[in-house]
Amino acid sequence: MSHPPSHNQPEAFDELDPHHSGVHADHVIVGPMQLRAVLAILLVFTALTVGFAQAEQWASGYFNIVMPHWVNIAGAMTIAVIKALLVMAIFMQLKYDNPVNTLIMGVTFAALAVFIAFTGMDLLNRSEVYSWKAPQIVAGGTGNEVWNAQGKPITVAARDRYLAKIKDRIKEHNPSIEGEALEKQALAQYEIDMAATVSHGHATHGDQHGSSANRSRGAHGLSGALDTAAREHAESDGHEPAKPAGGH
Amino acid sequence: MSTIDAKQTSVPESRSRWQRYAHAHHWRSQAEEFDGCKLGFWLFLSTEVLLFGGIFCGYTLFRSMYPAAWAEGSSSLDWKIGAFNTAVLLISSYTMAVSIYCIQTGKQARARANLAVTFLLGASFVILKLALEYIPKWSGYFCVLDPALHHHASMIVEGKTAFFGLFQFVEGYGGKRPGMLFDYPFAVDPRMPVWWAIYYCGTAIHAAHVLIGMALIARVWWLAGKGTYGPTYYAGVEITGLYWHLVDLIWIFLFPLLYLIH
Repeated sequence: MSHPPSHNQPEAFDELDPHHSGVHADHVIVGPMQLRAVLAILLVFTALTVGFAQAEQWASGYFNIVMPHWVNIAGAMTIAVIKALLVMAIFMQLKYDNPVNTLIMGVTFAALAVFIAFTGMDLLNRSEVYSWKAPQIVAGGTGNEVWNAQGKPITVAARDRYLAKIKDRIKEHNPSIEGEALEKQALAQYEIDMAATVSHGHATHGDQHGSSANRSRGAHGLSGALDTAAREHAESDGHEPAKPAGGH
Repeated sequence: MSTIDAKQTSVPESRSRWQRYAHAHHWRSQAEEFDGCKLGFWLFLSTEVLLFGGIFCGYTLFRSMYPAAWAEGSSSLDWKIGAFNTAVLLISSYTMAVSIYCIQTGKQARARANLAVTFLLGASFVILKLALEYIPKWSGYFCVLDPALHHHASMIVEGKTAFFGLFQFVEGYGGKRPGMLFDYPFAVDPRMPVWWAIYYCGTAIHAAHVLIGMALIARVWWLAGKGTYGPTYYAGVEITGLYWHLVDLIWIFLFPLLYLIH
């Protein structure tokens, strides 16, 4: 038994639709009013997420009300997800589109979540399993023989280069100064320069360096052994780079 | 007269290109071709999400390993620049969507105007990023128009300027670079170079996408001027729009992660 053809009646030839299947009948036009409404919501949410982050610092700085650290992250990420869903649903028209396209994006985000979760399960627990490997890791992250670092952690090397520059300048004005006096004066100038540069970091308007928001959590990361090893290394002023404990 | 001749003469040359457009022979209809085209592009966008996924994964893990470095790094970014650039990208996404609406409803001139605005907003995003963020943080040269310059007045090196005097050198501010390029003297946490690696990786790949998106927008703007797109054929504009919205989508996550969460 043969199937009957879908179009029994021959019609005038239409070069835009030679098979008479209907052109763009299913394509939705998203109107300007809806687009404007979505834009307004997106901008309001942007203001909201900035306000939320500022409010946390304000409460912490003026009233010493320290919010748990996850509140900051959860708030910002919730707003970001809502904004992303709005962009995908309306601007990218997934709401009106073939559901297969939504499925593709859904599977992609699920794959990304698996990717991050499994990498985290490995990296964040490594210190417990291989704590004996911790001294192999050098603060600064790129190994012992780093260009321009002379075996020191990168940040310590950068500081030392700056101190050398200050010392040169002091000696220009006062060639007789040497030894401990020079060291002391250079360090004092370093502190002054640091205050002038860092205290205007935009999240900081107080006496301390760095963000005020990080008061809400401990300074140590989840990888305790790695962090402790690097910290001790940095505090020893980096003159003795950590030797690999084994392996390789 | 053959059938083919008859078909060719039935299409008057005065009609626009979009009116004369016929779908490729391996599709049953233009609608099907359009849907296939979009499906392929969504598959491509999923690979883009995974590309940035690597950066987000690195961010998440390094952040949980070295929170103090993240707090220090984040505090040297200005949320005002980030928020302004977020608004710029959101508005550009809106004008992109409006240009598709205009094409669908046959308002080609308005569509082109909206495409031009989208292009200019993308350009201003990149220029702001370069002039107010990348150049000062990398090299220590501040744009003289940067409102944040007065904070560092005591550290300005007189006479050391660049780019026809448009940039002024501030001692000790630059050198915030990834890994072994790091040369910022005031870092407290030894992991700060890791933060800058993630920052530059994430934002520079994003900025590259903005530039590619601008090239695509310029292309459809030019083609739209030749009457290529109209109510029954606008796949090129639609696809360019999807790409541009993805650029916006990525920034929606990069902004709070880099600028707001400490």
